Amino acid sequence: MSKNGIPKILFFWFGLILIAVLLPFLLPSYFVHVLIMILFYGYLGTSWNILGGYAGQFSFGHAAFFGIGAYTSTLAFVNWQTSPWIGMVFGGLLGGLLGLLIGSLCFHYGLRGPYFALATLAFAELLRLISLNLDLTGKAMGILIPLKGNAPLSFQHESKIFYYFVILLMLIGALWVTRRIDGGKIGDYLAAIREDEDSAEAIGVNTFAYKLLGILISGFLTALGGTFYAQYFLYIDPPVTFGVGTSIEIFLRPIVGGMGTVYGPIIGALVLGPLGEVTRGILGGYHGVHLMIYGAILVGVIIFLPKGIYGWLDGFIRGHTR
Amino acid sequence: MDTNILIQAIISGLLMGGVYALVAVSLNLIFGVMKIINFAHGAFMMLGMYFTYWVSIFLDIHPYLSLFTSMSALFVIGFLIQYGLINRIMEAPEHNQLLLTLGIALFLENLALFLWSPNYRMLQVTTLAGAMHTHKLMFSTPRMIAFGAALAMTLLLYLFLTKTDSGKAIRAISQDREGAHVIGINMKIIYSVAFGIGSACVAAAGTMITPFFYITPTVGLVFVITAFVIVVLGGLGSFWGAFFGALIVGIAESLGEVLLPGSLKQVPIYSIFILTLLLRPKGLFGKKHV
Amino acid sequence: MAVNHVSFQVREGEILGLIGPNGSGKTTLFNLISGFFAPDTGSIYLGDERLVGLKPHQICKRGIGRTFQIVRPFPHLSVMRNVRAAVFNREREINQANRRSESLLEFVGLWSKRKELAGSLTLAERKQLELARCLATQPRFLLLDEVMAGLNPVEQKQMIELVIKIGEGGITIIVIEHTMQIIMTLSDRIIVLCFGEMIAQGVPQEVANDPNVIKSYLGEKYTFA
Repeated sequence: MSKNGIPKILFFWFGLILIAVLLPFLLPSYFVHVLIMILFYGYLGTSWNILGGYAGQFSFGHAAFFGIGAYTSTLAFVNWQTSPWIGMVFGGLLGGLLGLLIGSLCFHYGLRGPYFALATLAFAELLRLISLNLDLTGKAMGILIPLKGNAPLSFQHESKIFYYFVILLMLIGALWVTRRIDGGKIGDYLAAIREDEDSAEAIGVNTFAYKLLGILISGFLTALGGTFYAQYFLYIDPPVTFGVGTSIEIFLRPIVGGMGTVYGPIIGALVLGPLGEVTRGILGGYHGVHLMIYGAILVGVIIFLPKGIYGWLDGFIRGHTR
Repeated sequence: MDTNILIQAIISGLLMGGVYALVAVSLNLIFGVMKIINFAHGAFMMLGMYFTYWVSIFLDIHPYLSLFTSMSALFVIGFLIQYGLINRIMEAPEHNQLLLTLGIALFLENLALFLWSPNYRMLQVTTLAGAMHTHKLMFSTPRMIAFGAALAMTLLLYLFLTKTDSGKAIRAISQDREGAHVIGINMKIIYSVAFGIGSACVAAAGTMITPFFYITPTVGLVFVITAFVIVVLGGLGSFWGAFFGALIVGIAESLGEVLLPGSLKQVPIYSIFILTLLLRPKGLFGKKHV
Repeated sequence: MAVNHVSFQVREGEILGLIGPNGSGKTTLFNLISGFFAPDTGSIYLGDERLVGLKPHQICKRGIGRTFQIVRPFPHLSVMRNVRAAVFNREREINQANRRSESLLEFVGLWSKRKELAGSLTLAERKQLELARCLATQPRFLLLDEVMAGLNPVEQKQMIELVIKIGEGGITIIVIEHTMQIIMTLSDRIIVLCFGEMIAQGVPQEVANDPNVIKSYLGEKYTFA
């Protein structure tokens, strides 16, 4: 296993990091965009995973957090010239707060499983309807983020490479948080809650508090993603920020890749991202057409790979290394 | 606020509520029998609408005449989907079943988008169109017919479930899965039949509203979410709960439309939904412990 | 009414047996003590502390552990992780938690299975696991709900020894069991419930000869030899 005392796994990671750092400089702009989207949805999926995969509380309405983040930083920037970096932090805090609000209500009344999922959907939809009708949020027209050219301090750049590294760092951060949770007391407690809430209570787990912790962290991180989206695309409107479609895209990666695992969401993103692009290339046409393939994949994964791709690989590897 | 407008709104809401009732009651059937939360229900309604649209255009007939064919077509599609796909995961955890039907909905909706474009389509009907006027109130004829047909179909469904042998078999399963299994009822077939019936009913609802409702691939989403709200409000598993819940929601939505600006008309619906989930998850008539 | 006018005291360090026909309210009593149900009237004290109104995890922290009639381990987690989740109730640091988990598994006899998924264990092993999980929370008080049910005679003997070992460690135990023989062997004192009411209490010998008890068990008379 060891060569001269250096574990082989380190070479793997070093190589990966090297590739990750060099890629954007070597690829044409379109591919960098594809990579950014993969990392972006991988990030959102990882954030969702903390609540949905680890705590086992399936959310159909994560767009609520996403949208809050997007609108907070954008409105702060447009109205008060606050740097979107600062706006991002505030958006995150608001996202976490929203998580606490939704969580307190839902968990206090004991909503679980599909009922919790539908409730989160309802909350997201309410936010969408409100933003659709408020002048402040630009109603159906949405908000355009003013162009600042090469302004990294204002979270903007003309080159995609800037955004690539921002989202890469965000993703690494989210993965780090997930790993910390996965390996320690919080991970065990969330797993216990996920497996059997009553048993968890019986062994001293404050299920209410830990579920809240899950939704707090998840909401915070997801909201940060909203700001990234706003600054990358420079335009936000109610359906794209709070819509059901966004919520679906968010949880799709972890489901396909493997819920409750650290790298599941990324694997899901790595599979769905290119597939989406290829589909769009072949079938052309309308914006949502890749969702058709995603729907089929979702059906396939649920039937044949219920533990997601990671779970299947894991079982496969275990089965062959005895 | 002019009372006339309010009364008109209540009437429109009631008429639409009848259609919602058919959608909700058929969703409830599927949940009651199989404990499946069927996200694809709206997509089936959409398919029923498109089916009616194309048949109507190609054969140059009134959409109502395509009712039998759209119901049959969706019965078959529903049956096959249950038999081929959903039957495989009947023992899986609840959220997996939800995700499966969601995946099916995603697929169907975007397939429709791809095949028929997101352009809104509308069927122009000349017979049985227009409206009736009494006491300063307007009763749109197609809406009344849709209401009547939906009620009739709901009643038929109720009679089927309570008076026929097959209907009773289906109800037996929903009450006691293992018991029914033991006495040798072929579960897979019954599930598929129930799913097919539910799909046929919602297709019928789709057909009946084509004269006055825009046809577009995403039309299903709003209906399925409304149906969930109704079913939860009325009580999951309760036939009459779904029925009366639908009328309530129809009226609430209609009142919301006249009293609230813009697209906020759905806010009361979502609010009712959340409040019901939190405070009375059993719903108004529900008997099942959540 | 599932439990009506049941009033008793448990002495520290004793093993108290709780018996009664099906539906007499035994598990309900456990649910009340451990905080899963709330009583309509009455109170429950641990020493001087009032327990009514506390949530289950708070009661666990106060030192009461319980098992469930239908054993509920965390099926997709390893045996080790099952116990460790409970250990974290008292330990904070992961290495210490790991060590304590391993020693607990050794105590109940499951150390060799520590990497297996809990869902793949036999019934007897699951019961051992549940005991390990309970003990992990360092209870002063243990509620064992039909821990012998479903075990064959060999497994039962092992379980009885384990329960006695736990009792010798100073933990107060209330045991619910169906079989008179087991209760007689284990208990210092016995309480009998019938239709939610307490119809007898005392040392095993007294209770076995109590006419009310004999009536409720349909004439099963056990003579303490």
